[in-house]
Order: sequence, then structure tokens, then C-alpha cells
Amino acid sequence: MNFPATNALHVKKTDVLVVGGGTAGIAAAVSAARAGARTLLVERRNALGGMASNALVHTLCGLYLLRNDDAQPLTYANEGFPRELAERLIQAGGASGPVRMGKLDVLPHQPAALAAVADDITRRTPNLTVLLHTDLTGLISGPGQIQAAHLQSRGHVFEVAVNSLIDASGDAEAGALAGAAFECAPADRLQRPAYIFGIGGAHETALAGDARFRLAHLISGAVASSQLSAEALGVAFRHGVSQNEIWATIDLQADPYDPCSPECLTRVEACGRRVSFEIIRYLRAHAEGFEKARITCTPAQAGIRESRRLSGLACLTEEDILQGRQVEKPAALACWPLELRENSKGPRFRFPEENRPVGISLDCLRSRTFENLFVAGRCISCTHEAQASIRVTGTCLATGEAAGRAAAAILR
Amino acid sequence: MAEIPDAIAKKEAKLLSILSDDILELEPDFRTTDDLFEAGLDSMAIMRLLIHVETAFGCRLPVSQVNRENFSTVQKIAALIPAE
Ligand SMILES: Cc1cc2nc3c(=O)[nH]c(=O)nc-3n(C[C@H](O)[C@H](O)[C@H](O)COP(=O)(O)OP(=O)(O)OC[C@H]3O[C@@H](n4cnc5c(N)ncnc54)[C@H](O)[C@@H]3O)c2cc1C
Repeated sequence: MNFPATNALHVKKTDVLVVGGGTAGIAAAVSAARAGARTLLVERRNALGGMASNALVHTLCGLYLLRNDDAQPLTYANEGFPRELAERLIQAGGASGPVRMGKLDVLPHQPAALAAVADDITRRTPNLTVLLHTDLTGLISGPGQIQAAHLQSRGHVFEVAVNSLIDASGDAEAGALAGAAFECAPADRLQRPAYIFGIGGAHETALAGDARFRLAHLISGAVASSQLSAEALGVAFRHGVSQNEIWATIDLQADPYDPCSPECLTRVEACGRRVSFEIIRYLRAHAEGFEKARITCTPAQAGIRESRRLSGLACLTEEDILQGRQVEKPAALACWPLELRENSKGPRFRFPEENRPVGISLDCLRSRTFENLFVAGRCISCTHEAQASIRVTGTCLATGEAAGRAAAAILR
Repeated sequence: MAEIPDAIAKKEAKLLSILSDDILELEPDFRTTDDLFEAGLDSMAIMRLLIHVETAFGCRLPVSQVNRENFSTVQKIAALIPAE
């Protein structure tokens, strides 16, 4: 008898295993499969998109080359999958723009729409199997090679033999499980986490004119008089794709901070939730235009900007980015300025010379410990400072696409 | 009575040090007439600045004074703070 609860996984062997279905993992899996590799993408949550869907990050950055002024034409930094996904999102009504914010061009998107578009693209990609609700829990390796992966879902453990593996987990989880070399910045230097929630029912003009200044005045007064927790001082509001949708992002200090510790993550999630509800309750009572506001969505997880970085054959540095350094045959281009958010001193942008994009070498996407281990997204091989540029979704899509192609090319 | 220039300069210096110590990453040669929004001042930074001003100067600025124009330079913010 084959009871449903003891069914085994049909896939026993795969050419390419992609761990993590964030922006990088989606791009990696689609490009590996399109290159002809039998590809398996595993994602622990219920939706693809990672931070850009499950943590409610709602703006795609790093898609377009920097421009000195609006008169210059807008150009995709990476033409392939990043452009394809952006255009599919716009077509589906899940993104509106691009829009210019200060000196930068960005594409605001709906997190849930990104997940839906990713479902559609992956479903239509031959050679690709996606498993949601599935966790990589262990890796079996020999000298310099990863041989098989242990996957777990709903009380089942499966073993899948792999030819190559792409760590698109954001936290270099596959690397850590395999015993590959990785780095992590000290706790006080890590980019801070944030809790994003959606607000509906506010008046369309709730953020118009000097309203943000009035909100700043209101919230600081409430914190000073202990009517709101101090964490509320980290909140910023922004309109979503539609004018009657507002995103609130609370940057959290979260000390002592450790993005890979479940104790710390539990504290961050609970704090984000508590402060979100405090803020909305206070705004309803005191802020003009927020009388009927309510929380329309909370994230499936708090937003993590930085944690482990896999150590590769090469390492992208801050100087590479600031000088817009070129490499022969770049695997991907990164063009977002360094955006450091190590403390509550607000975002600090440092722009590259002449707004030049930097070439990321494929060696930054290859583990120095295992020959068949690749990495894509926010945990590629780079310094802590460089991560402040390459973590944006546009660049994650590009490194994902490049890693997917490279992993498919080493088929035995 | 008009404020004496020395008192104004002191107030501006105190404000500038609050801004660079706790609120923004300012270049060492940042001046009291330089644009704070260019330097990264946003509504989140203003919230924290208001709390620091309240602690350091013992005054809470009224909401009607908190706007883009009044907060564009250290000099303009200092002018909102009553003489000690
Ligand atoms: C608060 C905040 C604001 C941001 N704002 C912007 C912005 O405005 N614009 C922008 O472009 N970028 C922004 N970013 C950065 C950007 O969102 C992320 O860096 C980017 O989305 C990372 O993509 P990724 O695919 O590398 O990793 P992630 O999105 O983290 O995806 C990794 C995926 O892997 C899965 N996973 C991990 N381990 C396992 C495992 N063992 N088994 C199975 N699945 C696993 C996770 O569930 C997750 O879905 C922001 C980030 C934060 C946190």
C-alpha cells in the first residue's frame, strides 16, 4: 500500500539543483533548464520571489544602467532574464514604471505579482521542476565535489543525486551545509534587517505634499512621550504600484544581531509585527488621511539584507564597484551604488566613477571549496561593502542567470 | 531682542554635531549652509533629529515648522530653535 503521507519524491537525480527560489534562484533555474540541464529548484516557503515577494520588498533596483540625467536613454544593465522578468511583470500589471527616484531608476512592483509571474515562467520552462515547501537540509560531498542533497518536506526526507548545485539561498545555506568556505561581517557591521508591511484604506493624499514631515513629527512625538516603541523611529512610508496602497518599512537595529540565528530571527519577526500594529493603531487615531487605514499584509518573513557570503575563486570589492572596473567576459553587470545600511544613520549612497557598471566575473559565482558549487544573488563572493551594491534584485537576477548557464555547462 | 551672533554660531555647531554624530554620514567639511536633503536627510532621519533636538535644546518644534524648506540646511533648522 502506498499511503500519501509516505510517498517518495519522483526525482532521484538531477543535473542542476538550485537551492532557494528568490530572484537569483528563479533566474538560475530557468537559465539552467533552458540551457538543456534537467533542473530542480527547491524553495522552503510557499511562493517564489524570496525577499522580493515573501519579505514584501516592492521595488526592483539595479535593472537599469545609471544615468547622469533624465535626457539620457534608459538601458537595461543586463538584457537577458532580468529584462524578461521586468517586462513580464509590467505586462501582467504587477509593476509600474520605471520611475526616477533622485538619481536612480527603479521599477516598483507588487510582491505577490512577482511570485505569480515566476510561477508562470517556471511552469512553462521545459526541463525544470519546482518544489515549494521543500528545504535543503544536508549535502553529501567527496573531495572537491558535491554529490547528493538531502531535501525535506512535510516529514519526508529525500536524497537527490546532483551534478552541480547553485546556492541561491541568500544566506549561503548550501555552502554552510556542505562545509564550503564562507565569510560573514561582524554583527555590528551587517546591513540591518527591516520589517515591511502593507497599508490599505488610507486617503490618497495621506503622503502628499509635506505629509511625510508631519508624520515624522507625529511619530517622533509619540516615541518621545512613550506612546510608541522606539523602534517606530525606523519607519518610512512609500506608495505602492497603486496610489491607494502604502508600504511601510521599519528598519530595525535588532541588537544583538545575527541573521542566521533562529533566536534572533524570532525576536526580529515578533518585534516587527508588534511595532507594525502599534504604528497603525496610532496613525488611525492621530494622522490625517489614516483614519480608516488598516494593515493589508504582513510579510512571510522579515527582510534580511546581508548574512553569509560564499567564498569564491574571486571576490568582488568595494573598489571594483566604485571604479566601475571591467573584467574580460563579465558574467553579469552590477550598476547599483553602494547603499550601506549598517546602522540607523540612514541610507548612504556611494556612486561609481562616471556611473560606470562593474563587471562581475564568473569566478565570483564559483565556490573555492567545491568545483561543482555555484552561487548567485545576495550571497555571492564579494566583500561586505560590495554586497551593499550587488544585493539588489536586478543584479541578483543577473548573477542567477549567469550561474544557471555555467552550472548547466559542466554536465558530465 | 535679536540673538547675538555668537549664540547662533554655538547653536548651529551643536546641531551640526548632532547631525553628524547620530543622524547622517556627513563629509568633514560639511557646512551649515549645505543642503541636508542632498546629504541624505529623509523623513526617518528627521524623526530622530526631532528627538535629539528636544533632548539637547529642551524644545519641541511645532508641526507647522517641520517642512522641506525649513529643514534644508543646518542654518535654517537652527533658526527655528529658540535662544537658550
Ligand atoms: C528591507 C529590504 C529592502 C530592500 N529593498 C530593495 C529594493 O528596494 N530594491 C531591490 O532591488 N532590492 C532591495 N533589497 C534587496 C533584495 O530584496 C534582496 O537582496 C534580494 O531579493 C535577494 O535575492 P536572492 O534571490 O539572492 O535571495 P532571497 O530573496 O533571500 O531568496 C532566497 C530564497 O532561498 C530560500 N531558501 C533559503 N535556504 C533554503 C533552503 N535550505 N532550502 C530551500 N530554500 C531555501 C528562501 O526561502 C528564499 O526564498 C531589499 C532587501 C531588504 C531586506
